[in-house]
Order: sequence, then structure tokens, then C-alpha cells
Amino acid sequence: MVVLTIYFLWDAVFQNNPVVAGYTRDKILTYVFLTLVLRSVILGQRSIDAAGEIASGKLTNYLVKPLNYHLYWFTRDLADKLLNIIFVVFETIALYFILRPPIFLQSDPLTLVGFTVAVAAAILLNFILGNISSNFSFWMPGNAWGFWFLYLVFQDFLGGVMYPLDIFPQTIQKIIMLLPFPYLLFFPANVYLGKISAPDYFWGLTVVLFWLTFCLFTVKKIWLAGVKDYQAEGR
Amino acid sequence: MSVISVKHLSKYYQVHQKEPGLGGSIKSLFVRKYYDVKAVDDVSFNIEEGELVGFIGPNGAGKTTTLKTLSGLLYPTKGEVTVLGYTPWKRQAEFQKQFALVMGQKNQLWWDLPAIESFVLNKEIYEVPDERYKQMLSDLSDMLQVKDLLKIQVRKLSLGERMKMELIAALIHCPKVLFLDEPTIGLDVVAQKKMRDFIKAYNQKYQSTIILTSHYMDDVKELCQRVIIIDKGKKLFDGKLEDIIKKYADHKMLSAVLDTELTPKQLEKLTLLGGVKEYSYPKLILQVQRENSNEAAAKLLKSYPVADLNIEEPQIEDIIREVFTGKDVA
Repeated sequence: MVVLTIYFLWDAVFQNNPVVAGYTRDKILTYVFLTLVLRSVILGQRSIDAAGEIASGKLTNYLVKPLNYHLYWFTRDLADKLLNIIFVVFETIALYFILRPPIFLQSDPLTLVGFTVAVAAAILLNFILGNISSNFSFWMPGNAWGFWFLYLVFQDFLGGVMYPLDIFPQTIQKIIMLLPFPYLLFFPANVYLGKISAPDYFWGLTVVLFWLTFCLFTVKKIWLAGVKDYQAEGR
Repeated sequence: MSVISVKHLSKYYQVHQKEPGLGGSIKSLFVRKYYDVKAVDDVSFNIEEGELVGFIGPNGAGKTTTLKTLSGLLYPTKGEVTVLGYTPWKRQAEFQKQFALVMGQKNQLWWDLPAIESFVLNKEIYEVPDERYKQMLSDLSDMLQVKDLLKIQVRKLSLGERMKMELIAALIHCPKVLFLDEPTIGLDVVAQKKMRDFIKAYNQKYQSTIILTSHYMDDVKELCQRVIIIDKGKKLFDGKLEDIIKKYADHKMLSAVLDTELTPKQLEKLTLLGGVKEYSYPKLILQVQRENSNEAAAKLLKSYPVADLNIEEPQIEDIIREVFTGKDVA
């Protein structure tokens, strides 16, 4: 439903203007469609359940096994994404035939490689950011959802879920691009659309790499502290 | 070297007290009242290979906390613990592959899948070779008689069947050390008995070291040569089950069947011999001092219409109850 709303909204905007915020009608509609697919691949995740497992004490089962709890959730996330992709393919095909939007197909192989890398980085980033939220469960059992909610709001407004971020003024855009959120959806989508120059692309990857390292370090710290405080209660 | 060695283990928790209601919630943001709970307080013991040790104590005694520390789930406040030579809370994979923790109240099986799927998952997690896995699965499912249930969704199984599956899942990697936390809880008498038989057979077959906690004295009586009793975080007793009687029971029971009903006067006189535990004609149970038991029995036979008389040791359950309810035992 959200997709349709966003779609018709942008469709209406382009009735009178040929170019808005550097986007033509084709490209914005492709953006909407692309983010629909990318969302299911990048943002769809199961690891939100980890918060519940930590709170309920189910973590105990994993903690006594020779198993990396984070990697375990990462693989479950990937499995979940696979399932999402299957559904989203049908959904997209159906929507395509209903709406018949003009779709921009990227044909440059180098751009497609860059796009794949950006998507992989986004998947990792999203996983780790979500993981940080889940780990708060160690201290606030049952309330880690609050952090998830906050994270999802950031995703929506700063990640480019609702709109491409170029509609913001330049200065604000520059600040936003230093945060991790635009690299979840907005950045990969724009790489696909060919809107990112080579230097911008590598600068973007550097920012992602910084956040990945920073978050990995943080999540490890939080996890170690959490496991130390964990009392394995519950039945 | 002992398989399990625990030296001066202590685990204290800081627990926060909150007033009820929203007001209490807001207040607790600024002023927090904490109190220390000594879940385990200076406990030491050693367990050798192949031993099956019963861990008993009332709710909140510190049994589960001790097991959780031995499993590496909790970091102790003080003390040293080694299991198979490893420090449990470092959670090294080599250590984790050699032990298992089964909690009667916590399940690890995937609810919506047949149990066998969880077994395969555990096989991969513990890196059990194919041959060994097949062997273990067939042995365990034979011993527990669940061969036909392996491919049925776990949610469709009864509690008893599920507990058996939990055990298979926990034992598929053939752990050398096994912690069983109330494995028979909630099971019916028949299922309890089967579970006990299995634990015994498993212990003998694989020479594994087992610590068992249970609230059912039958579990402990039937399975454990040695028991460790803890209460309020302190170790009260460590030794053979029979020795509990010698150590704590200062009395014996005279259980008599009478020919005729006693007059109130006779009853009153009985108190000179010992305490009347139970009297409902024709049955009489008298509690007497251990050293006087023979003398009291003789007197009873002589002066009362006794048809049948037995001198009995008190029930272990009774002694343990007395120990826990704070009758001075130290």
C-alpha cells in the first residue's frame, strides 16, 4: 500500500514538472520501484527477534553451544531475505503490469558491480545497526523494541525509504551523507541509477566502511558487557 | 585430576527494588534501592569422572546458579571453577563440544519442526561426524523408545515425549559432562521412572559425569550415590545419601500395629517413651531417640497391646525437610 501511495504521489508531482531535484519522471519512478525491491533485500530482517531471545533467556540455549550468536542471526537474516526476494519478484511483476511505469534499466557492467558492492555493504550495515538495538535487551528486557523503533524511524527519514534524499538542501544533504542511514537504501539505489560519480562512490564506500568498523567495535563491546551481566533467567 | 573442580565459588546479584506503579517507576529513575542476593556463597566441591551427583536444595537455594556457572553462562563473583580443565565462562568451543546443559523448563527444539531437524542442526553445530551421529541417534532413540516419533512436529508431542527429544538433542554430541536441571519436572510417575532409567543407563554406557538437580527425592535416591545439599547459597552436606541419615537423624521411628485401642491414659503415658508422630488405630508411629530405640521398643512391647512392631530409619525426605526448615543442623 505504501508503495502505491508513494508511487502516485510522485506521479502527480511530475504532471507539471519535467525535472524535480535532479530526477526525471522515469528515474523517480524507477527509484520507487527499486527501493521496493531493495527494501526487501536490505532492510528485511529477522534478527529483531534476538532482542526477545535475550530478554526471555532463550539466549541460554545458544550461549552454551559452540556457536557464534551474531553469525547465527546473520545467516537467518540471509535466509529471510531469500524468502523476501521470491515474494518481491512476484509483487514487482504484478505491480509492473498494473502500473506500467517507465523503468530505467542499468546496462553499464561497471555500475552494476558497484551497485552489488553497495548492496552488500548496506546489508551488513543494516544488520549491525539492528544488532546494536537488540543488544540493549540485556539491560532493558522487553524494551529494546524502543531502540528498534528509533532505528526504523531513522531508516525511513534518513535512509531514503520515503523519498530520495536529494530533495533536501545541499548543506543538509552533506551532513546526512556522513551518517550511516543513507547508505542503507538511498546510496545503492542511486548507484544503480548512475547518479553517483566515481569519486563520490568511493567516498561513500569509505564512509560506510568507517561506520561498519565503528559499529562492529561497538556491538562487540556491548555484547561482551551484556553477556557478563546476563543472568540466564527465565524458563 | 577431577573433571569438575569448584573452589570457594560465590555469586552475588545486585537486585533492584521498585515501588509499584508509575510513581515507583519514575522514582526508580532517580533513587534506586539495591540489595545483594548471595545466590551462591563460598561453595567448594570436586567431582570425578563418571560420577552421578545429585544436587538438592529448596527453590532459590543456588542449585541452578551453580549449574549456570559451571556451564559458563554466569561469571562468578569470587572463586575458581574448572570443568574438564577449562574455565567455563571463557566459552571456548573445545569445552562447549564436551558438555551439555539440559533444563527441564527450557527447550531448545524447534517448535514447528520435527525433532530430527533440530538433531541435524546440533550435529552440524557440534561437528559430529556422520557415522557417530547415526550411531548416537539410533542408540539414544532406542534407549528412550522414541524411534517412531522423530519425524513428528515437536508441537504435536506430549510433554514426556518432548523431554525425551530434548535429551537426545542435548546428547547427540556425546558430552563427557552433563548438567541436568530438573529433567523430570512436570512428568508423570511413569515418565519420571523411564527418564531415571535412561539417565542411569546413559551414565553407565558412556561413563559421563553427571550433575542432577531435582525436587523429586525419588530421582536422587535412585540415581545418585553422592549428594550435595545446598541451601541459601551454602553447602550443607556432601557425601553418600545414607550418611545424611547418620548425620542428621537423631531419632528412629517405632511403627506398631495395635491389638486394641489405647485409652487416653495409655496415650499420655506413651509420651514418656517418645513423641507420638501418628496415632490412628490400629496404627501407631512413635519417634524415639536413636540411642534409646531398643529400650523404648522393649517397653512398648511389654506394656502395650502390640501385634506387630518395626524399628525404622526416618524417611530421607523428612530429614531433608527438617534440614531445610532450619532445624539446627550445623
